[in-house]
This record gives sequence, C-alpha cells and structure tokens, in this order.
Amino acid sequence: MVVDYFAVFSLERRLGIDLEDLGRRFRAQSFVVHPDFHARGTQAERSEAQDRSAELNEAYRTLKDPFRRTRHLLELEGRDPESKPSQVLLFEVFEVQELLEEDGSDPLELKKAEQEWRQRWSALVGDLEKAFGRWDSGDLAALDTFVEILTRRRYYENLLATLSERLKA
Amino acid sequence: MPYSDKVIDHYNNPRNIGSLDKGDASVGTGMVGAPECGDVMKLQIRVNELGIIEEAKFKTFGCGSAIASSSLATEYLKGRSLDEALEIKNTDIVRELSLPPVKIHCSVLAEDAIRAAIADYQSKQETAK
Repeated sequence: MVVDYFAVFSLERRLGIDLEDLGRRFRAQSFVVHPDFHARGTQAERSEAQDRSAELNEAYRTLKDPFRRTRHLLELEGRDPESKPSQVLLFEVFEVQELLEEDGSDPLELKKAEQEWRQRWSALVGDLEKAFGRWDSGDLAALDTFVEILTRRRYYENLLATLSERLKA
Repeated sequence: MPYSDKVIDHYNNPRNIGSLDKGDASVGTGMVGAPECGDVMKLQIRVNELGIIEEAKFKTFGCGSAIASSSLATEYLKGRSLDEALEIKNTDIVRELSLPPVKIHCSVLAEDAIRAAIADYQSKQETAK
C-alpha cells in the first residue's frame, strides 16, 4: 500500500503547497520522531522511531518537488503516472538525439536546440502549475493533464542534460 | 548495477545498428519509448515479396539494457515471416540477456517496437492496395 505523504503532514491532497508551511510541519514532526529522543527506548521503539523518521524524510522530499508531488498524487489516485509517449514526441526527441550523436554537429544548431528545449521545459513547468489549480478546485480531468506532463518530463530532462553536456565539451 | 556479459557484448558491438528508408513501402518502422527513463527506440524491418524479414535495423537512445534488447531483437527478426516475428516475446529477450527485474521493461519496449514495426509495414501494404 502507498503511504499518503499528504496525510503524513495532515494536509489534504492539494498540489498547490506553501513550501514554508510544509517546512514548518516537517521540522515540527522531525523533532518528535527523531531517533535521538528514543535512544533510551526499547529496541522496538527505537526501530519504530527510525522507520517513522525515514518515512517523514521521504514524505518531505516527495512533496517539496512539484513533479514528485504530482507523481505521488497519481499513485494515490490509482493512476499510472506515465502513459505511452506520442509518436510526435518520440520522433522529435529522436531527431535531437541524432543531432547530438554526430561528432561534427554545428554548435549553433546545438545552441538553438538547447534554447528551444529550455523554453519547452519552462512551458511544461508552467503547464504543471496551471493544472495544480484545476486539481485543487476539484477538476478531476486535471489528472489526465498530469499524466501527459509526467510522460514528457524525462525526455525533456534527458535531452537538456545531454545538450548542455555537449555544449560544454 | 552490473550488466550481464551478453548485455555488455550487445552494447559494445551492437548488431544491425542504423536506419532504413522510412518512406519505402517495404519498410516498417516502429518508434517506441519508455517514459519512466526517457528512452527512445526505433526498430525497422524490410520485408521481401515472400513476406520474409530480410533486414532489421535499430537505433536506441537509452540505457545499456534497452540497447542490448533492441540489438538482440533485430537478430531474432532476420529471416522470419511476420507471423513468426510476432511470436517473439519479451521473455525470450529477458532470458537470453539475463535481464534483472528492474530492466524487464527494456525487453517489453523491444517487443512493442517489433509489433509497431510490423503494424506500420502492414498498414503501408493496406494503403498500397
């Protein structure tokens, strides 16, 4: 069973999260479950405190990051976080990867590709935040948008990582 | 995570790497991807008048297991009829390459690519009729 990380912080399953508030909740709870406070307890109590501390840290890491938070929500809602990428996306990615593969690629062309995908990445992050608002106001169809965005995410990230590596070289 | 010797062999010496002319009526192209890793795999077949796969090529941007799975898939495909090609299962690839559980999806991707390439070839033949 998936642990509900929103519930760990007594939060509703909303995606628009105030990070300062989340940080405060995290610190307050870390204090309670910190293994040092249970150092004199029984073996079982200590191990329980350790488990809860690890879970709390994972919950915080997950909710802090907008993409991981969204992925977690989809898991809780019983949805596959990714779907089959569209043919258009696959061919686009393939084309850039081929450009990157060549040794003598034109640096200007690489720079152009990097700018384009960086813009697309910003747009993707913007789309995600817009969809947060839809989900938080009760629009269930936002879940489909999340799947669509998460399906694109790794492709964008991988391409940008490879592009900046190539531009550095 | 250690790769098996066979994965390393296919990674270092990929079989049938390259591209065929996507516009050619005797060529079927399968383009598939694993969104959880951001992998893209292109697998192409050239089918002769007898319905036998004469040539198979692949190009994969992804991890070693994805490259090895598609490389092995092209080896399996050559000389088979389309029906025989559809009998190739991802579990054949898993066994041959000794893929660990976390890399099974790479073999599934290769099976999807085979099916997509065959479907593409068949739909081209339909339109040509």
